[in-house]
Amino acid sequence: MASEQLTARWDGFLNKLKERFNEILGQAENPMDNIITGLQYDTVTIHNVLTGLKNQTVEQLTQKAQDGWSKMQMELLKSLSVFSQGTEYNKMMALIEWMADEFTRFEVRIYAKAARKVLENVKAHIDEKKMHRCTQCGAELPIKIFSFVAVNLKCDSCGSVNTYQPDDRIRAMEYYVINHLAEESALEEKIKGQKDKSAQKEYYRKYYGYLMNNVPDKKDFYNRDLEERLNNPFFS
Amino acid sequence: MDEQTKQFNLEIDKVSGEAFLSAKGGDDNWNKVLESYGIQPLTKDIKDALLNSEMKIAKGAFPIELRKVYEKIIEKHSATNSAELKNVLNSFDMDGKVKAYFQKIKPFGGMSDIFKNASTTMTKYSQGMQKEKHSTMKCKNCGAPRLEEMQYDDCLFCGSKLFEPV
Repeated sequence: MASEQLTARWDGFLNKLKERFNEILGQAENPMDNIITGLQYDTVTIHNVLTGLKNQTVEQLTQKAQDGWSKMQMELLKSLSVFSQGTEYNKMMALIEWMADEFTRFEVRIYAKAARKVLENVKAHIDEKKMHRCTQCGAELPIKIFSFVAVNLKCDSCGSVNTYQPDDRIRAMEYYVINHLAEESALEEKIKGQKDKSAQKEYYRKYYGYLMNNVPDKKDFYNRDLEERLNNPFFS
Repeated sequence: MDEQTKQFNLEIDKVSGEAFLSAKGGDDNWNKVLESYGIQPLTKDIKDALLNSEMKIAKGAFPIELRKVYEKIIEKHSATNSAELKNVLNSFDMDGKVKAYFQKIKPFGGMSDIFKNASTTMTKYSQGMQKEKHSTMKCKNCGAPRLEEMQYDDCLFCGSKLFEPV
């Protein structure tokens, strides 16, 4: 087969894989919306669905592209077009990279949508106007309902220590809501960071910055994590 | 690779390709292939039963018919004097080959399974979540409340242990 014909066949094959990728994710939109509508206070189901979809898109199509490349390489050798091997191989690698990036965008978008639904459900469940009073003297206590760790508060009036444990739904939001929204805020940096170390640091700054702003109770904890990722040679 | 082995591989690839290109459940061209190997196509009743079974196919001849063709090809080449071909015939992975063919002709139905499986665990991890709790640690001996946030030892009023040792 002439080398132009081979290239055209290879391009056609890679285009079909790309179309298939778009088709699967396009078909997943509606059933995914139905799943999100039915969520309560966690996003575990979304994780399960995305794992399956990633297998059917990124993993299986990458495998198909690599299998196709083995055949294409043989054909190139037969047609003595060995010098175009690099160009054709790079086309496949670009497609594999594109699928991985697009899936990350899809995944982060879906998680963020699910996170907003969970937040809506938690807000509907929690009474934000509820007054918290000291168990000993009844004085009003400045308890923040949207806190993510148990706190000990000393009553200004009688001095007793009141222990407050937030609702489990609120504590779970740290992972099921805020984490996903933080990922959404740093999405493009996350994608760039997979190939570029300095962009990866920018991703950590943005991701942890979002967490620190939205979970002030754990600001020190997140800051320590951020510093570790920015300065530990293991991460950079 | 010697000529006889090459011919064997070509024949296997050719029939696999013809089975794959056939209409769903077989067609006239595929029947001609079966006929050329002296194989009777499945009866209409069996084909209907297979088409309505759990093992769905989107296109191509039935794997069982292709298996019979493979068996005939192996039988045809078994009298060979080529050591290489004998080796290939002995190590021919019939089940693997038929399964790989089935993977190609089965319909794409994975996505509905993904969502079906997911819907069964939709609210599983949201069950049993506890409401907020608000309390004050009090001395078991005299009932005095804890007065310091970092007070993990004795009651400031009567001196009893405030927390039980673990």
